[in-house]
Amino acid sequence: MYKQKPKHMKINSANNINYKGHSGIVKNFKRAAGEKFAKIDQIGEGVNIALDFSGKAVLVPATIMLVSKEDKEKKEYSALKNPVAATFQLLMEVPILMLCSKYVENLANRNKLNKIGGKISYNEKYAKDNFINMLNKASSENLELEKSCKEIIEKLDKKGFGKLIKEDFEQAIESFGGNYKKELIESLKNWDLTHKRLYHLQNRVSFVAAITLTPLLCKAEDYFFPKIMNKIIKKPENNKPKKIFTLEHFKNMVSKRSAK
Amino acid sequence: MRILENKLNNFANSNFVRKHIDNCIKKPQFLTTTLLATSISKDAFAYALRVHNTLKNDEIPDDKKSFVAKMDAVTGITTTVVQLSTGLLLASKKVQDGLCNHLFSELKDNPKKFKQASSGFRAVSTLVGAKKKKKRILVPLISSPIASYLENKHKQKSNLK
Repeated sequence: MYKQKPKHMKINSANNINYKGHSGIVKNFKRAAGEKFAKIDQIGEGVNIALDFSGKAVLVPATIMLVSKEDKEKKEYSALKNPVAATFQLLMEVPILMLCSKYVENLANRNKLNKIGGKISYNEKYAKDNFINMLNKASSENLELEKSCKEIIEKLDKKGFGKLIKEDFEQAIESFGGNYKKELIESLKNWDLTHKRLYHLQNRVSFVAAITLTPLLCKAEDYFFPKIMNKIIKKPENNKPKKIFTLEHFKNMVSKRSAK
Repeated sequence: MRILENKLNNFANSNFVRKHIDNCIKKPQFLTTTLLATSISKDAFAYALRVHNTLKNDEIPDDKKSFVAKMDAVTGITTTVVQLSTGLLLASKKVQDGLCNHLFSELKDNPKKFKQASSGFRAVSTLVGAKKKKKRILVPLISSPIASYLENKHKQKSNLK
């Protein structure tokens, strides 16, 4: 017998259910949050650097200023060191990450990171070409596969390879792969694995480079920090006491004149 | 350049790196712990250097030098301890399973998506928890009074002399 759907549910598509009412808001939020987290592809040094910068530049100085009981000038001096340090760190770590990643990718794709006779484990270009060639071969015999993969390849050219593109390919192959289904899935898996391997290698090389250059970063920070602080916080002019005309001065002046 | 290429080749193909990368791909918890470890080691090293440099820097006024150096030292130590403990606690399987079961209960009908959401959440929550909330708020909250206390003690000692 046909079972009627509950009134508090509205089904938009196979995976999209909208719940209504107060408890529905929480359920919808949980579902939306789950969908968002499921889309997260890979987390690496880039996220690490971004989180570090935002925390150091904003949260640390704010907390020191609010919590520390030292005098204002000392607090400012210590608190402002963090945004200065964070800026230097960002200026050093972002180019290192970008340059190292590019350099490692370049070496890997030229087969320079594979032991002679060993597995081609970091060459993403090779793995990608392998899959695309196989896909072209399968598509030439299957128009539906060609049609469904055309859009995915356009997306791939725009956004690059990632979790979502992989899932799209998997879906298309699952539906229209025909005789090539097994080989295509295997080749796609290999591409995905090589992509991840290269990504983690890039991250670790960037980390080693960043830690090696940390003394240089600290030296730069140490050199520029007092200079920046001197511009931000004016030095107290202790050496030259200000001449202020006080009531005492006025009384002395008046008494001297009256004596004359 | 040739030497660098060879060094990188040896690094990339060493047993340690290969195993490490395989673990990063297969185990989300291992990846999160690795990111935590890289972040902590960078911080600890940088703070140690900062203390050393601050104390040797003649351009920083003497009255502020000692407080800045103490603040750096205490921040470095508390950063390491707090980040490590919070990160490991948040990344632990029990905590993560509990949080994910509660947060993504609506995705339980789709095990694949549930697994993906859980692994994404694990990495983000651990890093954000350890780095932003704890390291950047809790650490200054702890280190500020400690640095002030040390500074006062230092002043008292120098006054006695």
